[in-house]
Amino acid sequence: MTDDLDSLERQLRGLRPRSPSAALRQAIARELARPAAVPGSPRRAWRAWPWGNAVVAGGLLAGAVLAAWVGPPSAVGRTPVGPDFVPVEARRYLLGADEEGVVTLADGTLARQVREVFVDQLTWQRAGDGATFEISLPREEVRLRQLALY
Amino acid sequence: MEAPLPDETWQTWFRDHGPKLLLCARQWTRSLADAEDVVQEAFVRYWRHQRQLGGPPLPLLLTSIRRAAADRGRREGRREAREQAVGEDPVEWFEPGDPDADERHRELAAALAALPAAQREVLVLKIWGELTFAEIGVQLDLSPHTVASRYRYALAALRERLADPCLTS
Repeated sequence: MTDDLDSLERQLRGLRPRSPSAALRQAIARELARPAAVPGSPRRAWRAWPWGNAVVAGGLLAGAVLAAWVGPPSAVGRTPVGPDFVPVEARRYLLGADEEGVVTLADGTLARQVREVFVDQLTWQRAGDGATFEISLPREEVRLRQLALY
Repeated sequence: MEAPLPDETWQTWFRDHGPKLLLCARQWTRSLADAEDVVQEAFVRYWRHQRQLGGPPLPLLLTSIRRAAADRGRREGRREAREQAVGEDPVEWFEPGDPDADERHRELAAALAALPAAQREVLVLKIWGELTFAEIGVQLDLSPHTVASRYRYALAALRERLADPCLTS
């Protein structure tokens, strides 16, 4: 690149992105303080979803079976494949979200409670030959979103 | 961007890297509130389920942020979220600079916000997201050559806008 573009690039690097708000950090703290969802665990909401789509149902069943074979989340987290594999992609497919209304948090603030059903798909790849290993984990999470009163 | 250390708290890691995540999220959302929401979703998922996978965290986090922003846009009927004009003051994207440099920082931030979304996105991912051209290509489904070209065009466009303030206003 030319000198002036290099200079412009340096000037841009001098801009410091603004720090996230205290409200965001508090929201993250609340979510991380709650127990995580267990993949594939039977819940009332799973039976409430329409299972007319056989492809989705079959895929989720395969994912649950695979997750059971691989083990609990902690085992997945320790990389179920060999050391030559590195994680290259993590996708989340949102199957649906159910608004469960407004809740009052311990500090008195209001939040929307949303139950989301999705599938996490994790992919590892081996550098030498490009071989991939993929895991699909059905999950359900309840999320609290700040309530905007404007 | 280095992976979290085994005994590092999320607060410490987020303090150091959260600003970059938020700036990237603002390229794919229409408001600060939306950007914070998708960062929250992606970061919680990463810290709970993906941190133990190892490897550089930023590609995973940025993929999650982009997809969360796209999901949010679809859920709320805003299919053109990425193409909408920036509605907030772009200066708010960055911390105030030194008094002597503050005016220049404002000019840079305004010129950056005025770039086409596709160019601005590459610039932000490269400079503040610390991704390589190859990694940006994977994120955006582009070749590294195309990403590099778009990056150079973005810088050249910025240079033009800074030289002619009428282009930025």
